[in-house]
Parts: sequence; structure tokens; C-alpha cells
Amino acid sequence: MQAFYPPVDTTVRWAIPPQVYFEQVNEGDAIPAVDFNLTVQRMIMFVGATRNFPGLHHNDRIAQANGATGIFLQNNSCLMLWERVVSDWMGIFGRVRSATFRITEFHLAGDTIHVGGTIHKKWQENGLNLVDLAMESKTPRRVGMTGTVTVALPSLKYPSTTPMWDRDGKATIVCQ
Amino acid sequence: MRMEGTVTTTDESQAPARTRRGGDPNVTWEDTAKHIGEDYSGGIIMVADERVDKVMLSRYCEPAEIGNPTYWDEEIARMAGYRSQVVPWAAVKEVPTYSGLWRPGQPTRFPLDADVDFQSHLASRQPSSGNPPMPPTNANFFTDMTIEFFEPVCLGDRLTTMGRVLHHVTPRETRVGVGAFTGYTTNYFNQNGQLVAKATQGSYSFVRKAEADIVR
Repeated sequence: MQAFYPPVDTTVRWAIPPQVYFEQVNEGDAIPAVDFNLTVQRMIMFVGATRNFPGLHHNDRIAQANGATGIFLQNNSCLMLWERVVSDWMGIFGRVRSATFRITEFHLAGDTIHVGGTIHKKWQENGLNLVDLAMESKTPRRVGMTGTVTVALPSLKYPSTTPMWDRDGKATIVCQ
Repeated sequence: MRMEGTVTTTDESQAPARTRRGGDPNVTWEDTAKHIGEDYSGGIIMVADERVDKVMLSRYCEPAEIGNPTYWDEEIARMAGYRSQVVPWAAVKEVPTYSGLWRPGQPTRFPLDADVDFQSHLASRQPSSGNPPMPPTNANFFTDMTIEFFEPVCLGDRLTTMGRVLHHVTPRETRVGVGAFTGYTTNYFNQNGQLVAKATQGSYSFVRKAEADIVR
């Protein structure tokens, strides 16, 4: 009998990415962008992962009957593209405080979506080190989604402390 | 009202561009705006019967290839100060707050006489008791969202959804029709009653323009 092993060792510890600290970022800095190729298979993976099953997101006939040219990414899946870009950048000790976005164009199967962001504002408030990232997703036709992601970053003084806050937004674990 | 069974209403919040009927021709959007601040959840509290598990976390990360190790590795997540592996922030609203799409004893969602494009009424993700009085519209799609995060959502957590409060009503003509942007606010809690997120989701409800008049 031949044993079967998964192609990836699922017990491995993942590499810890470089950490970004509040003192190291400046207003106007761009964060690394990512291009996403929205193949049909990938669109269906989003549907399965989020369990958003309206036909608009997996059935061309239904999408077209509702005014789209074909299946398009569901809103929260569009946000997951931002998640990738922001999470890659902020490291394991950064945390997202809030996100605001507006969708302005369908993210269609076959599109390559370019997602990038710029540090729009940097400030300290309620014990948190905060930065506003001005985010943008570009479809091949026009800008498809814009908005802001506010991230709380650790400081060089407490380099391995993740900021936490209460329901009033006041730091419960201060990183300043 | 505490609800732990599957809700079999159409998921309106996830249905951009779906045709809607109804509305009251004697109501204006200004009338609708008078209901800002009112709760349209019907007092329903939706409690998930599933907890966050490792498979969910992997599935959330795979399509966008999100590699932050706090989502993948329990030890790293704890080292970073979390209770356990963390749900990606963009996926928090996708964590089930309902009791699945079918459960034993429930009727089939896929009747034999359904055609290939039939769309089953699966679980609602938001408590809802309808909408405030609105003018007639025939189309609706998702437009925007603001979400604030509080307590992290981690492995083993079980979420609850409460509230659907009318947040804004902004009448506007756009390139596709005439109508209004509206938004509702919902709160998400963990099993300890801690607020984990507060989201205001917006949509555009409108009377669709003739195809020739729509600016593409």
C-alpha cells in the first residue's frame, strides 16, 4: 500500500513577513500593489469561500438578465482583494480598524484588477497609531472600487505588540 | 426574538441589480428619510450554529491568496496577541451568523421541476422585517459599505447578528436610473457578547432608465 501525503506539509510554520512600524511610514507613501487575474475558476472559489450563491456571481445567464455583461465579484469578495494588499503590507502586528468602500464598476470574469493604496493620513488617537490608506481597484475599463482602510500599527517602542481597542475605539493595548 | 433555525427568505442584501416590485407611489424619498434611525430587523437575533473552524479560514484566504500567517498558524496568532487563529478582517462579515443553507428535516432547496437557472431561497444573512415605506422601484444593487472592527474574530468563535437600522437615504439620479442610495447598519457579536464589527451596507434602489438612455 502506498501512503498518500498532501503536496504541502500542513504542519509547517509559515514564514513571518517583514513588519511595518508607525514611525517608518509617511503620508504619500505607496504600499505594494497586486494584480489579480479573475479567471472563472477563481470567481467560483470566491463564491464557495463566502457562500454567496446568488447566480449573479456564478451564472452568466442570470448576471446578463440583471444588466451585467457576465458574472461579477460579490462586494465582500472585492474587499478581499484589498485584504490581500493591506495584510501583505501591515505585517502580523498591524490591525485594521475600519474600512469604507464604494463599488463603481463590476469586477468581471476575465478582468485583471489592479489594487493599490497610498498612505493618505497618519495620526495618533485614543492610544492608537493610525494610518488611513487611500485604496483603489482598477478594472480594465475604469476605476472599480475606491475607499479608505484605517490601520492601527505597532511602534518601534513596542515592536511585537498588536494594538487592541474597545467598542469606543480607545486602545486597550497601547502601542505608542 | 432569538432565531437559531435557517431563515428561508431571499437574501436581499446580496442581490445587486435584482428586480424588485412594489413601493408606494404616494411615498417620496423624503418620506423614507423620516424613518432614519428606525430598526427594520424585526427584533430578530440571528445566531450561527457553526463556529469558526480552520477550514473556513483557509477557504477565506485561498481565492485572493492572503498569506498573513495570523490567519494560518495558531502559534503565530497567539504570539501576535490573538486568542487563536484570526478571521481575515475582510471576511468577518462572511462568517456565518445563520444556521446553514439546509438542515436535516427541511424541504429540498432544489425541487425536481426547477429549471437549470432556478435560484433557491437560501439563508438570509441579515435579520429583516422589511423596509420603510419607499417609492416604487424596479431595480437595486449594492453600492458601498463602511465596516468598523472591534474584538478580533478567532477560531472557535460563534457569531450573532443584531439590528438593521436605517442609516441614510440620499435621493439621486444616476446614469442607470432615478432613485435613492439607502444604507442599513448591523452589529455583529461573538459568543461572549463582545461587539466584533459594525457594518453599514448601502444600496441603490431605482427605476431603471430605458436601455438607450443608460450611459455605459
